[in-house]
Amino acid sequence: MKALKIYARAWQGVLKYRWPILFLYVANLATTFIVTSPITFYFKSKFERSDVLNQKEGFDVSMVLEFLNNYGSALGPMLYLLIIVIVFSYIFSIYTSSAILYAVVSNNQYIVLRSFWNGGLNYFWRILRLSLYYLITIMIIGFVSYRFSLFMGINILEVHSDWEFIQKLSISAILFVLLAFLVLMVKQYAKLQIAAYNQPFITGAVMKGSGFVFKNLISAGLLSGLNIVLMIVAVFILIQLRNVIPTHLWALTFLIAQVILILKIAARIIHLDSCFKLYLDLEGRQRTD
Amino acid sequence: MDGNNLLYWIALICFANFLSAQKVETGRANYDIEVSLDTRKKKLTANSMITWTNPSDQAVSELQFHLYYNAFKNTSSTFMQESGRFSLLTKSLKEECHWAFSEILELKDEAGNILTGEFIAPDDGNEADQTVYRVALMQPVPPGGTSKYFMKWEAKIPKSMVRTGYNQDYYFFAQWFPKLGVYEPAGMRYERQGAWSCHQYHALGEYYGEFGDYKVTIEIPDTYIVGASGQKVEEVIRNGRKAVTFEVKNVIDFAWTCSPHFQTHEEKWQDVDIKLFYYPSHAKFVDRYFTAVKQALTYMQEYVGNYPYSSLTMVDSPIHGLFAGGMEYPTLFSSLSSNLLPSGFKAPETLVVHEFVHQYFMQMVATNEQEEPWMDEGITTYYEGRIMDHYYGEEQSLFQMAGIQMGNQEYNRYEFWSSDNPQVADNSFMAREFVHGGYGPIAYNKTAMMLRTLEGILSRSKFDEIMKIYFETWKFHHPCGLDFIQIFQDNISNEYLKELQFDLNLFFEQALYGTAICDYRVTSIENENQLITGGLSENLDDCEPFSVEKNKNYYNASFVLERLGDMILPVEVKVEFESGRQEFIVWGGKERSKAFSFSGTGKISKVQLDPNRKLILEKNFIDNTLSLEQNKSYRKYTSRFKVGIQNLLDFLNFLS
Repeated sequence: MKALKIYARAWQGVLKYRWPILFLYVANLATTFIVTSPITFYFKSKFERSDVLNQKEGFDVSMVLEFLNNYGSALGPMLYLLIIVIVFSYIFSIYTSSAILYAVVSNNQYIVLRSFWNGGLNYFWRILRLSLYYLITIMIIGFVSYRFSLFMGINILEVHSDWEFIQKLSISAILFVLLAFLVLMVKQYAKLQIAAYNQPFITGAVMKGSGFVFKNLISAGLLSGLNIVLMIVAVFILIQLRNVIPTHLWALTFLIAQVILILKIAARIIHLDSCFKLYLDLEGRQRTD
Repeated sequence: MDGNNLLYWIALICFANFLSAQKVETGRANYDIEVSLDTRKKKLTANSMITWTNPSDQAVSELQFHLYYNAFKNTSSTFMQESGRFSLLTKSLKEECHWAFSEILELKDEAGNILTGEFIAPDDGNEADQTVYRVALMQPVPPGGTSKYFMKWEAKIPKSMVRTGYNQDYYFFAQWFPKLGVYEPAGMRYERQGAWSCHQYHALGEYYGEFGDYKVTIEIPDTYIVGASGQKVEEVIRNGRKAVTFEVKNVIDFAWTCSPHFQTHEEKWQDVDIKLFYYPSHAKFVDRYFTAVKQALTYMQEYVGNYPYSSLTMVDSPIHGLFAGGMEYPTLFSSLSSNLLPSGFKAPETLVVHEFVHQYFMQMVATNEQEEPWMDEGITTYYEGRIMDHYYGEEQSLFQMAGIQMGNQEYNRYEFWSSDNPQVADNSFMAREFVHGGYGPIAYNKTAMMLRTLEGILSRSKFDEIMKIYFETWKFHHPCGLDFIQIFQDNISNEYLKELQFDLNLFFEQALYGTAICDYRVTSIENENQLITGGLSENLDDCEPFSVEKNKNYYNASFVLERLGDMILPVEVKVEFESGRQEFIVWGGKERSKAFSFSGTGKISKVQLDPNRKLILEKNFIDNTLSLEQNKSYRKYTSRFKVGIQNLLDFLNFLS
C-alpha cells in the first residue's frame, strides 16, 4: 500500500512538472508535424480534389492501399526522412530523460525549464549508455523468449490444437514481459542511483538499482505496475473512443489523442518521481533500522 | 503475352462459334472402391472396380490414370521440382522417410486379362515423374461402349503434404486413388481429335475429372470418425475395425477424412444434409460455418442454379492439418479457422463461401483447372466476393476490427494491383505456365475483377441471366473458355451492345486474354465566363480590336478526360454543376484524351468518371473524380497517421 500512497502523492504534485510536460508535448507535436508533413501534404494533394474518400464510410484500409498502389513509389524518400528523424528523436529522448531525472532528484517545488536543460546536459552520456545496455538486454530477453518458445514446440504442425499453440506462445510472451518489466524497473532505479549519488559508472548504478529492486520487489513492482496499468488504460480508452466516435469527427479524436499523450508524458515523469520517493522512503527506513 | 499469342486468342474468339458450336457429351467413370487404412504403417490398401464409358465415336485402345501420390515419391517428381516453396511442409520429408507413393499391384479387364502399362510425362517429359500411368488395352473400348476394370493398389500416405496426407492422427485424403483422366472426344473443348487429358501433378493448378458414380467403403480403426463425399449408407464393425460405406452420384472426384478427435454437427438446408467435422477446440466456429454455408447455398441457388446433391460435408482442419485446409471436392470441402484470429477477421466465412462456390465451378461445371485456372478459381472468387459483400457489407466483408475495415472485393483489387507485375501473364496461361508469378493475382483476382466489370457494364440482371444460362448449359459437362465467351455472345443482342457502346469480343481480348490496363482519369475542369472577340473580319482592312466581355450568366464550361491505359471501355461520366444540375454522358473511351464542353449552362463543380463504380478493373479510383471544391475527408486518415507517429515518438522515451 506504501507504493499506492506514494504514487498518489506524486500525482498530487504533478503541476510542479507542468513546464517540462508542456515542453515535451510541444517537442513531440513539432517533431510529428515535421516528420509527417511531406507525407500528409502528398496525401492531401492526391485526395483533396477527389471525392473517393466520401464514398467510403469509416476508416477504410482499401483507400490507403489504393493510394499506396498508385502513388506509393514516391513515399520512399519521405520514409527515409521519417527514419532519420526517429533516430534523432531517440537521441533527443535520452536528453529529455536526463533532464527529467535532474528535475525529479532536484526535489524543487517548481521545475523551471533552465534547470531542466542543465539536467539534460549533466546526465546525458550516462543515460545514453544505460539506454543502450537496456536495449541490448531487451533484445537478449527477446531472443531467449523466442528460443524458449521453440523449445516448448510452437511449430504449428506439431501442436495438437491452436489453444496449445496459444498457451505455449503466451508462456513465452509472459516470460518476456516479466523479464522486460524487471529490467525496466532496474533501469529506473539505476537512473536514480546515477543522479542521487552521482554514480560515475553505469555498472555500479545498475548493480545498486538491481539490489534495491530485488530487495523491495513487491513495492517497486507494484509502483511500476500501477504506472503501466495507467498507460494501458489510457491507450485502451483512446482505441475504444476511436471505435465509437464517427470518423468524420476526426478533430475530436485527434484532440482526445493529445490529452492521452499528455497524460502518458505526465505518467512517465510521475513514475520516476514516485520511484525516487519510494527509494528515499525505503532506503531511509532501512538505514534507520 | 507476346504478339503471336494475342493474335492466336483473337482468332480463337472470332471463331468461337465454329470451335465450340456443340456441347459434346462426357464419358463416365464409375468407381467402386474398398479401401483399408493402416494407421500404423500409414498405408492404404484397396480394390477398385472402374467402369468406364467411351464418349467418342472412335474405339479407345488405352487408358490413362493419375497416380497423384507419386508426386511425393522423391525430389525428382515434377511437383517437387516445381514446388521448392513448400519448404515448411516438405521439411519433414527430408529428415525422415515420410515419402509417399501410389502403386498399382494388379489391373485386369473384364475378360481377366492382366493389363500393364508405363509411366508417361505428357507435360514436361520428365522421365522421373510417375504421376501419369498409361495402360494399353487388350480389347479397345468401342465407341460409346462401356468396360470394367479391376484394380488392386496400395499407397503410402504423405505426411503433411499440400492438399492431402496425414499429420498426427488427422488424415485428409484427396487425389488418393488411381484415377482415370478425362477422355475428350473430338469437338470437346479444344480437341480436334479424341485424346486423353491427363496432366502430371504440378505445384500450381489442381484437378480435372470425369463424372461418375462412387461407392466407397472405408475401413478404419473403430475409434476413428470418418467424413466423406456423398451420403453414408452403411456402417459395420468387421474384426474390430469400422467399415463405412459412402455413395455419391454424378461427381468428378471423391475425398474423405478421418480422425479420432473429430466432433460433428449436422443441420439441414432445404433437402441438403450439411455436416461439419471439427476438433473440440473449434466448437465456437460451428455457428459461423453453418451461417456462411447456408448463406452461400441460398445465394447461389438464387443467382446461379440449384445445388443438386443431398449432402454437403465441411471439414474444419485442425492447426496441424492446415496443409489440407481450404480445398474443394465434390460435396466435401475443407476450410480453416483459428482461435488466433480476432472475430472481426472473416477468414473462416470467406473460405467456406469460396470452397462452397467451387461445388458449382469445377465440380458441376467441370472445367480443366490445370489448363484454364481462371474458369474455376476466378469465377469462384467473383461469387465469393458477391456473397461476402452481400451478407457482411461491402466495406467490412473481409475484416472490421480496431476501427479499421476492408471489403472482400476491395481486397481482390489490392491483391491484383499490388502484385509484382500485374501484366506478367494473362488468362490464356495454363496453371503451370505462371512461372514468373501472377497465378493468384491473375487467375483469381483479375478474373473476379473482370467479371465484376462485365457485370457493371451489362447490368447485374443481364449478367446473372447469362450466368444462369452458362451454368444450366454446362453443368455436368466440360466447357472451355471459348464456351464461356460464346454463352455471352449468344445471349446479348447486338442492339444492346450498341446501346452500351460496348465491344464484347474486344473486352475479352483485352481483359481475359490480354494484359492491357484500364486507367482513365479526369484531367481538368475549366469554367470560362469571358467572351473574347476580335481580329480581322470580312473586310480585311477592318481590324476589330480585342473585346473582353464578362457575363456572369454565361459560361464556357469544359473538362478533359484521359485514357492512360491501353484498355478501351465505355465510360459513364457524371457532370455536376454549381446550380445542382447533373448531366450524364457516355464516352466510348477510345481516344487518349477528349474534351467535353457545355456552353451557357453554368459552372461545372465536379466531374466523376464511372460514378456507379462499374469498371472494377480501373487501376486508380482516386483520379476518377475531379472536384473544384476542396474535400477535407483526407484528414480522417492523416490525423490518424499523425497520432500514430506521435505515439511512436513517445515510445522512444520509454526506451531511454
